[in-house]
Amino acid sequence: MTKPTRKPKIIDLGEVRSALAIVSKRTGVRVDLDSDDRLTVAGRPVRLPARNDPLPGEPPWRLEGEREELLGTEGALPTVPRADVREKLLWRMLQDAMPDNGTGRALDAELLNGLEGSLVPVLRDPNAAQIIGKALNARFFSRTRDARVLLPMHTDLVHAFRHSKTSMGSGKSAPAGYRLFSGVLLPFLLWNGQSPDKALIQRLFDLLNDDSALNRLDILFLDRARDIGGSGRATANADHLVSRYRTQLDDDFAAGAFCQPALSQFADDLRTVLDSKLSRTDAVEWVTLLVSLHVTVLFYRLALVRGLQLDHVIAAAGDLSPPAEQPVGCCSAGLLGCPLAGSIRFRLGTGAFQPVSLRDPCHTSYSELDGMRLLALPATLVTVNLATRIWHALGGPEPQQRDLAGLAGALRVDSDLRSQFNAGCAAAAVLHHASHRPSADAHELWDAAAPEPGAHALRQDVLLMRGKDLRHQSRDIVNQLLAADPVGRLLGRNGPYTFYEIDEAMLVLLVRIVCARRTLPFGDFLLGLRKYGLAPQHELEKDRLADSLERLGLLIRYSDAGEAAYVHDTH
Amino acid sequence: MRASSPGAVVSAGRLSELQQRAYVRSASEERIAALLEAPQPPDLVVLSGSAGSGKSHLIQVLHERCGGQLGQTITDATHAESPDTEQADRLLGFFAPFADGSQRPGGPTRLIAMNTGMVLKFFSDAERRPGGHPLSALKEYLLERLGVPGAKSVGSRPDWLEDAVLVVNLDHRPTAGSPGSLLRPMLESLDPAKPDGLLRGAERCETCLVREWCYPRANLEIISSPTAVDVLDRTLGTVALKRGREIAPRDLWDFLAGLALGASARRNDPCDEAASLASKGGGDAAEQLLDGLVVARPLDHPDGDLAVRVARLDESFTPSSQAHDIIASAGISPPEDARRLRDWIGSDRPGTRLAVERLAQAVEQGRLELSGRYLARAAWLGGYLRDEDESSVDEFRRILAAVEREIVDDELLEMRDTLADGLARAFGLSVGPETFFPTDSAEGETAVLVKASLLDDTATEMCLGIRRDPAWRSNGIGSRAVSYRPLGLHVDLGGQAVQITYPLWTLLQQARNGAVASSVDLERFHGLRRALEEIGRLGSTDPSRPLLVSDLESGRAFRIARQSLLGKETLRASEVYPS
Repeated sequence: MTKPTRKPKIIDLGEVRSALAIVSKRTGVRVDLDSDDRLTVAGRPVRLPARNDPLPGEPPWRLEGEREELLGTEGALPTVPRADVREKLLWRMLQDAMPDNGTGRALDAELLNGLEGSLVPVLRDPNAAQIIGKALNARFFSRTRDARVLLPMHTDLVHAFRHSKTSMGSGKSAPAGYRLFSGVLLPFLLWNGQSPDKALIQRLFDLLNDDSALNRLDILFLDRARDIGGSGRATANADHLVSRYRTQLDDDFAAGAFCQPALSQFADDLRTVLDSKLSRTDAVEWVTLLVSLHVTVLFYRLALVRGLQLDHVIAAAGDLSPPAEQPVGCCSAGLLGCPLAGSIRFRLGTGAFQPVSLRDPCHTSYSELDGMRLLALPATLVTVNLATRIWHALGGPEPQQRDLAGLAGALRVDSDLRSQFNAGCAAAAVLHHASHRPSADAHELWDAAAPEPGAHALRQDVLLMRGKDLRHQSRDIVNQLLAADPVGRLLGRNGPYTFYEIDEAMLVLLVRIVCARRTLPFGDFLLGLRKYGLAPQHELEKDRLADSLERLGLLIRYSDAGEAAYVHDTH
Repeated sequence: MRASSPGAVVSAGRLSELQQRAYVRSASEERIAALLEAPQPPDLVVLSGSAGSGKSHLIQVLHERCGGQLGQTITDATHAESPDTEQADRLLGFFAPFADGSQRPGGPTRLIAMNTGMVLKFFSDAERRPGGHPLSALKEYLLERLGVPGAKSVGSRPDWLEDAVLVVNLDHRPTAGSPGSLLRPMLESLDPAKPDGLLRGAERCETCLVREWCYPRANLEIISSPTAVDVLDRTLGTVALKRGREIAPRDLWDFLAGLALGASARRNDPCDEAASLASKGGGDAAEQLLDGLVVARPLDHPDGDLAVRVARLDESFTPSSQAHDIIASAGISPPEDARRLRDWIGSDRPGTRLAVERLAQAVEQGRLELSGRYLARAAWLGGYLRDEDESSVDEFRRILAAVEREIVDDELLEMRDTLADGLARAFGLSVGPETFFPTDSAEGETAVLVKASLLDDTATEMCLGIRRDPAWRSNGIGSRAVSYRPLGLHVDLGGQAVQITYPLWTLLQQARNGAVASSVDLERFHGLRRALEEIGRLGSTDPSRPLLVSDLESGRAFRIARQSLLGKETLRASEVYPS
């Protein structure tokens, strides 16, 4: 079968060259496309994200789309995801850990619809089959209203079935697509600095491979599922998962992780959850929630840190005073030293309606963090990637190192570098604009590069050109992970207003992972929350948190004095 | 008397005259003094407790009583949550004889007052100070005695610490609701006519011409009366029981000040207030006088956490026929209202509670209307309104006492039945004699439960166990010294230790009687819910245990059990009807 021919992306490089000539004239630094249409700055070629298999007439670079190479996600994110149901996260990890990739052909909708009928011969009572079938479906399928998907309660299910979507009109089911992270997410999050923690991955898989923690009805469900799915026993294997992605991971982490302390924290937290005595359903729910929490926090951390770093680079490129926020170098200060610590100011959900004021820190911190930073994350990543590639062309380190503190420092002391860097960024803005608007003429392209400094022009153009779909690679994912499900939330909504609000399930999870089977003074518990960026929105909320924990039996007061209050996990 | 006033903080050795008058002696001092005067006294006494629990006062009393036996004393370690450098050095020096590896120091007993937070902070900081004495054994010992979880020390603990160090936690001192409580003499000392009371006979009032306008005096006379003392002592004892912690003396004084003066009089001299009302006269003044009376504003607008808790327990709000009768009949006959006011909080003693009499006259003459709520509160303070919770509170206290005495009697067995039944009804389902508990934490239309018996399950870890109070177990001598009484039941459930406080106990009682707990109530059950989930988890993996599937929507439930027939295993589902 021949691969369908795609339409070539034709960019008028003549207009691009004309715009670059204006940039050269204005900046006094020669920027141009060489004979191979590669960008050069002061005569030095810039290694821009390459176009795979370019068709005749297409330039060798490609500055649009959602590819890792353009967003420069190495060490920060395993892939560039799109939002999807969070229950599929663990499913995909198991699927990728099976030698035959879990290529079951049966649709989960067949199981959902056929279970009750398959129970009748076993239970010999249609009424019992109806009620028990309903209970088992509630147990094994997600509770999300608009998408009921089979949960990864056992490896055999993942092996035998595929997630499906059912047409509202025809009622027919078809395989559902998947857009969130692939199975690489697990070894990525469990990267220990040298390799993925295979033993911990296997611990998680072992939990889902065996039947020991299942009750009679769970086993009955699995037997019926095996019949309907027509598939035998399967085993998820950490070796297989890791070897499948090892090359990608080694490449991604070649220059180190974006935040190794955050990855180490995930490993600790996963260990804590796996150490907990949980039923199978609770274990699957808690692991999914834990992964969702860490991915969400990783998105916020990446958006805030990279955003701040880019602010400093742009200020240095413009020879302007540095922004008020301190520059962020690396994680030498640990998670508590990260600018994200305490930035997510939350309130406690009560399950009942509570009004929210626009002045409430739970809303203002959402606006600042989510609106100002997270939404701009794709644009920030693209700008950082292109800026570090330009610096590399001008003599800087490998772009994968993302040494933005070094870049800002170099720009501050070296005026020649500053000129060349800004010219390069302005030129990249021209190319970027042309990639998104191939029909743009030289004037429009120059307009994109005109704002000063050039680094600012580049960021502005990326923001402008990607404006419509920025949320797809940022806010939508976080919303899907921690706002869409009925339980386990970080985000709350009152009408048009969104704010940080944690519900009971999230609070219980946080107590579990922060305390990690220890009993902690309340103050230390609050410090522990800061590692995840979380802090009560104000002093009163802190008291409400203590009261809530006490009501939940998770806090003991040894005296009326606040310092003698302890948080502990009941597991 | 106010917790916020400078006089609320006691400095040992520098007690003001008012502080000396306010001091209430308790049996604890005698017991601690006896320990100090014993042939082999402790080498170190640590008095802990939160602010206002009476540590400094106790130190002064102990010095007066047995100063000869006492060595170095530190009283000011109490007045901060963390020590400054100078203070930390002083504390390090103080504790140096008890450093790891030392022999028992002996010598006169060292005495120190430290709140619990200071103990935690100091010892955590001490571990990090260069050149400091290693105090890990002492730290572990103190935290254990205080019932606070702490890191285990690396080495073994010297045996002599048990005899050498006495920890007395004044937060454990019963202050209300028990024989010999501190509150009773505190209330009695408020009687203005008492020569040795807080007001020293209130000589100033003798020549006062406006006493009938003085609601603070009337309030003091009312709340120091024997009946009101009983009522308030019982009520505050219930407050302590409900929150699971004793009330600090300073908080009690603060509460009593609020009752006597009301929030509106905090800024004014009460005498000026009375003079102002007298000069104003008329209906407005009468209304203001009524507003200041203990039955009105002080409980309508409670000032402070304790007052709020007491106001919640106000019997006039309890849905009882007595309270209803009083409130419903108020305002129909003003003379009858006046009579009831006089009967309940008035006085036969001439010259006392004059403000009540003035108000009664105003009501009688139709110049003032008395709300039913105020009358009901007067009945409550006058001992005419029965405490609806009283029998339940007494029952819970009897159970706690029985556990401490380790006496397995009918009441204790009945209590265990109540707990097991209440838990089954609140969290599980009962089908005939069988009880079923959820196998996971999921909440939805359907539930899968597993059979378990909290009373006599074959798996012992799934049975409901009762254990002695941890304070008694960890610090018997110190607990005895302060007449410690447990305020909660400690049970083992699914291998987890859970405390059942009085509010939980009443909820479980109600659940046993068929009441459906609200979601707010259920939140309080969280610890129990988790413990029961563990029972469900343990039970569900045992294939021999029957399961129950329940569907809330249709109200139908099926019991599923494994059966073996002709050498083959099969599942038998039968419809059941949970009670």
